Amino acid sequence: MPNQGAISAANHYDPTKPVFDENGLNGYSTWLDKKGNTNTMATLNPVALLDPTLQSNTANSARFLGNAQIDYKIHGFEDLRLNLNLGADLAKSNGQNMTKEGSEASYHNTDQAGGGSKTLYDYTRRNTTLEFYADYSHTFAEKHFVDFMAGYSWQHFWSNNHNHSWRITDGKEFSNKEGKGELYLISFFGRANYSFADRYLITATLRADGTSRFQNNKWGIFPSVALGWNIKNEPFMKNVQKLSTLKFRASWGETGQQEVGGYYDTFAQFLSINTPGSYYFAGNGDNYVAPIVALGYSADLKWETTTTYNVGLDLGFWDDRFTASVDAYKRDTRDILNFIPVPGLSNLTNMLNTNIGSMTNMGFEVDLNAVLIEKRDMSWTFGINGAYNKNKVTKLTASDENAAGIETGSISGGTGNNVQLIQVGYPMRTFYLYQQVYDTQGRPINGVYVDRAGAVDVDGNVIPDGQITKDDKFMTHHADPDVTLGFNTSFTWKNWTAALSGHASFGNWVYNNAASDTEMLADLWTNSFVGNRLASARESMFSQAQYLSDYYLQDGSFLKLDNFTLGYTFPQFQVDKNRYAVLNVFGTVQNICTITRYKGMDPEVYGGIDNNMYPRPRTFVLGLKFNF
Amino acid sequence: MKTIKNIFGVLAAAATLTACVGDLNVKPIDPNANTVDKVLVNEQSLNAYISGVYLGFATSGYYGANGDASISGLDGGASQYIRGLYHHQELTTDESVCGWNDQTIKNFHWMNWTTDDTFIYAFYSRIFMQVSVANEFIREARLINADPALLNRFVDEARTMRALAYYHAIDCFGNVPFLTDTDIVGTTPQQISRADLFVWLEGELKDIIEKGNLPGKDNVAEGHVSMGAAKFLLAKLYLNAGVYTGTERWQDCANVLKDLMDDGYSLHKTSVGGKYSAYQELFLADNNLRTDEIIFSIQQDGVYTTSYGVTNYIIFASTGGEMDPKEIGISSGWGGLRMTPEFYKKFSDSDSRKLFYTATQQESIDDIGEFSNGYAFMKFLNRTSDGEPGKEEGFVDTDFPLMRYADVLLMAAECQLHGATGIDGLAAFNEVRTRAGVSTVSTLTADLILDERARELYQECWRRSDLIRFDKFVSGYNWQWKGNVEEGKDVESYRVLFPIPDSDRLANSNLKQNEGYK
Repeated sequence: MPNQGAISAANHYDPTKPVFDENGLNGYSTWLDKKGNTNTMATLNPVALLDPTLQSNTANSARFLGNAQIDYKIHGFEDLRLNLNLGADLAKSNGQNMTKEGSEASYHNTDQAGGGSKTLYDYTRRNTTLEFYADYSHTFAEKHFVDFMAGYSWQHFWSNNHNHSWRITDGKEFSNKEGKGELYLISFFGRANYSFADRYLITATLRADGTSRFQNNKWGIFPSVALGWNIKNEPFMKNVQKLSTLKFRASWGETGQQEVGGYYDTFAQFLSINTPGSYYFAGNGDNYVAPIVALGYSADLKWETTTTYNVGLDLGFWDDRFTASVDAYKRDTRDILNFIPVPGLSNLTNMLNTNIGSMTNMGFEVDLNAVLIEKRDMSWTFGINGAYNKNKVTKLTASDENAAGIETGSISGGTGNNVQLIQVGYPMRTFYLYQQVYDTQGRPINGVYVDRAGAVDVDGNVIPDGQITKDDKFMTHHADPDVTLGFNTSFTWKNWTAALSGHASFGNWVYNNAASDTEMLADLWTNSFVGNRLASARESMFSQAQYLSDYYLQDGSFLKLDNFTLGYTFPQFQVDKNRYAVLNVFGTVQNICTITRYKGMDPEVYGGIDNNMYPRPRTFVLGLKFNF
Repeated sequence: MKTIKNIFGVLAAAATLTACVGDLNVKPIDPNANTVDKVLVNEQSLNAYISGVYLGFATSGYYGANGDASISGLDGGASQYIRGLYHHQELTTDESVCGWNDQTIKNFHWMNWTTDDTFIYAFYSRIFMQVSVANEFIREARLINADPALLNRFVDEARTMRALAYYHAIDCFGNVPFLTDTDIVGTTPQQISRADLFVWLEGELKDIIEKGNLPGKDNVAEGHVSMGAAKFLLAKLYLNAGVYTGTERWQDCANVLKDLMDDGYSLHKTSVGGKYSAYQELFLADNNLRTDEIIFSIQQDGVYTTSYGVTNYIIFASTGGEMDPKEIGISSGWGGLRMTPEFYKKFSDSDSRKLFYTATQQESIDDIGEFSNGYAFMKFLNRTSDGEPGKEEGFVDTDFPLMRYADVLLMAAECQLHGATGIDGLAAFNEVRTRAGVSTVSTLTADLILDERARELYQECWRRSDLIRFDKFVSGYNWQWKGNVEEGKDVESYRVLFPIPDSDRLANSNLKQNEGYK
């Protein structure tokens, strides 16, 4: 398995140094301190990190993913169908990591102090699921179609892992631990469907979902209702030839989310420490005791619920050669599960998963598909979908005042810096930064920000107070896009096919953490070693790191061409009397290109904080498909 | 009929599945993390549990120094308890500067910290986590079936450690959230005023001392608090009463000190190993043996109790430049801490406490970020009194002495200066000076006592409190780079207290900000 640390090390290492040095550790260039010892404050030689004699990471894994489905129509009463689905996902893996004694990485590790380390770990997973439903459907008097469904599902997630690591030279144990956890999800659900003459449709569903994650609020009830009017099937629409589809839809529904945090967050758990570095002196002789500590917990965690209102219209023209679908929606989420600071002294740690507030998403989606050419030898289809979404936080329960909100979006660099703020009235994941001041040539001035805060004069203007304090930070752009687009097009001619797809995003801003953490000129020469900086450092010329400057907040809007496939299908040929085989050859390029103004590696970063130093690869695939 | 029977059969089978709803009632199956009834089962687990309370001062978390910290959102090493104490009590004074670029770390020395400072939030979180942990211990320990004497002793140990955390709270933050073991986990605390917290602490410590459950000097287990620790804390409370409440309590302080001076502690006056001075032997890898003078220290061990805070931080951060890390007993230094010239000038050459590195350093700090500017510290070492290095060069064995008998003697001198009777403060004062190898004095003055405390207790996290008490912190005495001006300048008077962190005021609307901060 690759050493991810080597990539970061390669970015930080002095590029003017040679890779190898016969006087260095194990033949590699090595930074030394003023006393001639390995400089444990310096950067690591990236090529040494990839040397298989100095580091090795190997793992074996086996996985079984299976599913059995039994579908049974009652004999003599075929309108009733019973379905049972059983599934299992069993996985087992084990692995071994080794860092050799005397390697630079081992000297830099304070636990190893050059003595090397060996780690053996394993992981076992047993996820099982059982789902059962009964479905009754019947058309009465040729016009009334009804469908009832009721079901039950049971899911069990169970996992177990071990990790044992020790120092190679003297066997000093770093850790010998075991982890185990399980989750149960149980649901009861039902659905009723009625449609009249395939013109008026109504569907109602009800779910009761239970999770073992929230011991004091296990169950959530989630109903929904949907209406449809197939206008095209109305008698007055019969003669409208060009319009082949016209359907109006409206729905209201609630869904629940519980997939946040650990399995036992609502339990008051006590940890028996099993890492020797955190033992305590037992007070007699040379004995150390493994302490017991009480962990923080949120007893009242509950389901996060989202209520969605939706209206939509489906259109089709010229026998559905051109179709369009338009939806407008409003989604209100309440009791959002998020990891936030809890009041000091109220619990046994400072941050916990909590149901913190509510937010709203509003927007519309358009989906267009066209069959541009439909001939015997040639066809060309094109599809595009787009969505506009506006997100707003509507309530924060952690604080009664509407003050400044909850800090989030931690970055690497410095200690404990956050660049986003959850505040009422703003989108989730809005950046909260200082406004950079630029000189007349457009270069940012180190540490100088716009003084936004101060007293307000009679006209309502702010008089700057002359200091830069936290009040001078402001809510700026947000990480989630305003508009997303996807498109795909496919062209066939005789036996050839070509397909292209891509997607785009607009209005998503990205905080370039890779740059903010690797551009400052400070510490370039420090503690007897020279580090490296990104080439973009010449544009900012910041002497100190400016983590909270909006200079690093960049427009991440992009257009990506994702996939282009070109294929040729050979004419089918006969294998034997009744069987034919078809051979298809294709070539694909994935991740063709990205068009963006963003200066970092890749603007498609969920959450908007980019720490990525490694580009996504462009993949070329050549394949054969053989069907017979 | 048959089909209906079939249907019922299937539905009945489905109905039995509803029994599985009970599956949602889980119990944790993690062998290391369990509910209280499975973990606190006997006296051994009680000992492990009290150790967990102490551990919060000695490490950053439960998974080793390189593992996750027990506090989230902040760098594990930088948010360690004693490291935070050093930031607040030492970096803000003439004793120490830190040259790193760790965000706002220089704001401590420049004395221009803001209410959203992450280091302040880290230390504040640590203090209240320790109060919370002690509260939970007292709640749960009482439920265990164990020998009452042991139980009472451990409960009072937890109460003393809680009082220690509240002491740091009253000293640094003043008006703070307040809860005891009678409140339940999840309660949002109210704010207590500094004066009211003083009254509670006084009552709590007096009760602990009176109950007598804590062991004495000679039978206390290593790493645990003794009666001496509780008395020491009460004496510190009275010493600073003028600052905390506006009413001075010198006589009460003197009475507690007198009691403490009869407990059998003494200054460590003779070098045991012969390699280092008697004074320095208090700050070596085997200083756990200095039970004559050290009343209570925070444990560190290179193998078993490791962190990037406590003495590990002090030693690694004090070492840098051309200093020889092997001489100090570590792998290599982090090169951060140095002293101001004003502090350096307080020492005479015969003073055995002058444990500095000056060779390739310059006295004046022209550039705070350059390690060679400013003389460096070599007081704490990871070497034993025999001159042997500690167990590991990555982590130190040296404990952090939080309470020392020398401090008791200096406090006695200060009380006498302010008119307290019943103790011979002058003799106590001279005892400290004689051990250091400097001449005795015949009269006590405020400046002399303040300077002597600097010479005796530097890097031990008392300096800020002392400067405030002698009215020399925000004004009246300037040192290099105070106020971010090279020759130092006076700063705002409200900076005698740190602000209540923004993060906590947002999470808890009961908290009002300290005066002067926006």
